[in-house]
Amino acid sequence: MHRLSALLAVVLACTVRCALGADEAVVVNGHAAIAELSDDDLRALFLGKKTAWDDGTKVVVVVLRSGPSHEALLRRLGRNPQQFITGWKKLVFTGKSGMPEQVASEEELVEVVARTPGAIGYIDAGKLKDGVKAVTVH
Amino acid sequence: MVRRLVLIPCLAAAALAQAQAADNMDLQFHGFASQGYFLTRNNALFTSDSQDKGTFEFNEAALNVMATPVERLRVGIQIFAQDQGDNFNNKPQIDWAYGDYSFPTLGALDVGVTAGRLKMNHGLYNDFRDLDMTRTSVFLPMAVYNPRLRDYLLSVNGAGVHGTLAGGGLGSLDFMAYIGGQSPDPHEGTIHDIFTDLGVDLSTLHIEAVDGANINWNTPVDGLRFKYSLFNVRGINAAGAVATGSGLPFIPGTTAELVINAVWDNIISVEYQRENLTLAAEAEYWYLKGEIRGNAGIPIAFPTYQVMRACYLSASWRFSPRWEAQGIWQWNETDAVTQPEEKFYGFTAALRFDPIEHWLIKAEYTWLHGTSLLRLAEQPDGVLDPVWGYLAIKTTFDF
Repeated sequence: MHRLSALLAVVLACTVRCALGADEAVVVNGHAAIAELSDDDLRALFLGKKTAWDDGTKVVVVVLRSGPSHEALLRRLGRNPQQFITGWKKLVFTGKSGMPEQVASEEELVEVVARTPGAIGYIDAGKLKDGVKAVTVH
Repeated sequence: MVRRLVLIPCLAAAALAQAQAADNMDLQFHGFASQGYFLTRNNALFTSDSQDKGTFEFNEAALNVMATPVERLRVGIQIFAQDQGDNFNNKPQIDWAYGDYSFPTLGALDVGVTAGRLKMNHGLYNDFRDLDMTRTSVFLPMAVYNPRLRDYLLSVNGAGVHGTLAGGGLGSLDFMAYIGGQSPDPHEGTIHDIFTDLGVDLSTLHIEAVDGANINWNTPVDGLRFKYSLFNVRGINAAGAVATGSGLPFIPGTTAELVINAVWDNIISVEYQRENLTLAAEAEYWYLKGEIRGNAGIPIAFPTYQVMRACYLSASWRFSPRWEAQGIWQWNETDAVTQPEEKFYGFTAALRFDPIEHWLIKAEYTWLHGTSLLRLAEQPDGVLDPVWGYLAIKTTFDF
């Protein structure tokens, strides 16, 4: 069963890689009922404008502190690291959202997303593991 | 000083609580504290001490807590205190405290409703006036974000609706509308200062309604957005006893009353953010109409009004991962009964350094020509110099 999940994850990762045109993947908690996101959704989620999934679960954004995958995410959002964090501070200090959870490594990111309902992150597509699933962005 | 010392353990306790509570409950604690130095040249601003020797009475601190008790509902509160020369004196106040419910997405539409003490979303940056860490400069351009009006433009007790409409290739629209009121303290703030300067001891101050709306278009051009903001304040009533020697033609000891029927404020904004560059421009049109009533032997009333036009241009450039510079040009023209066609304009140069993600140091020098931001009573020599400026240095820590 685990092998099947891993195989599916790899297939999904390939799909995502094609869709994103890069080597990164958007991952969500494995129990999330989400298979795809629009580009507008992606921006709304990672910029803190969308705080709940359609089923009501709270969105928990998990990001890397630095590294190629984080830089790829920022490029996709059109932000530099300072603009990205400042945008979140604007939300935090006006009560519109909490801060994203920042982690040091892709392995830790996958771990946090896997154990947190409603979590979403952005990683190297090759780091996909059980407990998370990649979603297509179109 | 005692208040500042009390804030330090509070911030430490909150930081500790954050670590303990975040894992167990769906709670987040955040806060910030800043300390600055403010020096003016040729005129004084906020306190007579600002001129020549400068003042360290220039600090802010805030603590907030947010929770998601049930799905889609977010609640939170922020306590804020600041000292700005003779103003505020670190008196804690509720900056915002509200509940916000997000409805399930309906097609391309996300909608939420909110109620409580809400931040007034107006222009590009009014929500963030006190959030030093969100900009390069120490102050927002005073032509549009007049610090003397801060008390009345910051928060509203009421309810609102907000949302986003995704437009695919056309970008997206963010919108917000709110209704509410305010209960300002008659013993402090700009209206109190105006009455004091006119020789009236203000004792009552009511604001019946504050309503506003704005729409923000995130264009298909990455980083480019346009915004239109509007608010209307109705039923401002301020009254107090006329002192001997008052500048008003009323009998000392009788009551003078300022009744403002309406204030309308419009701001058109554009912001372009690309990589390390942020460009912004805003234009404002403010209109106020009312009358001053009193007793000059017989009850009399004379009309009062104020029309203000203002704008600014700003460019901010992060030239290294830790350094950012900004230049601002600003202009303001106010036409009122008490200040016929008074103008000011100015230039700002600002520099910001971020040693680490949650700590910054910044400095700004602003050169201004025109006196409408100034208060004669604050001037140590009792004279307003048309050419003046200020230096502001500040450091801010947040968590």
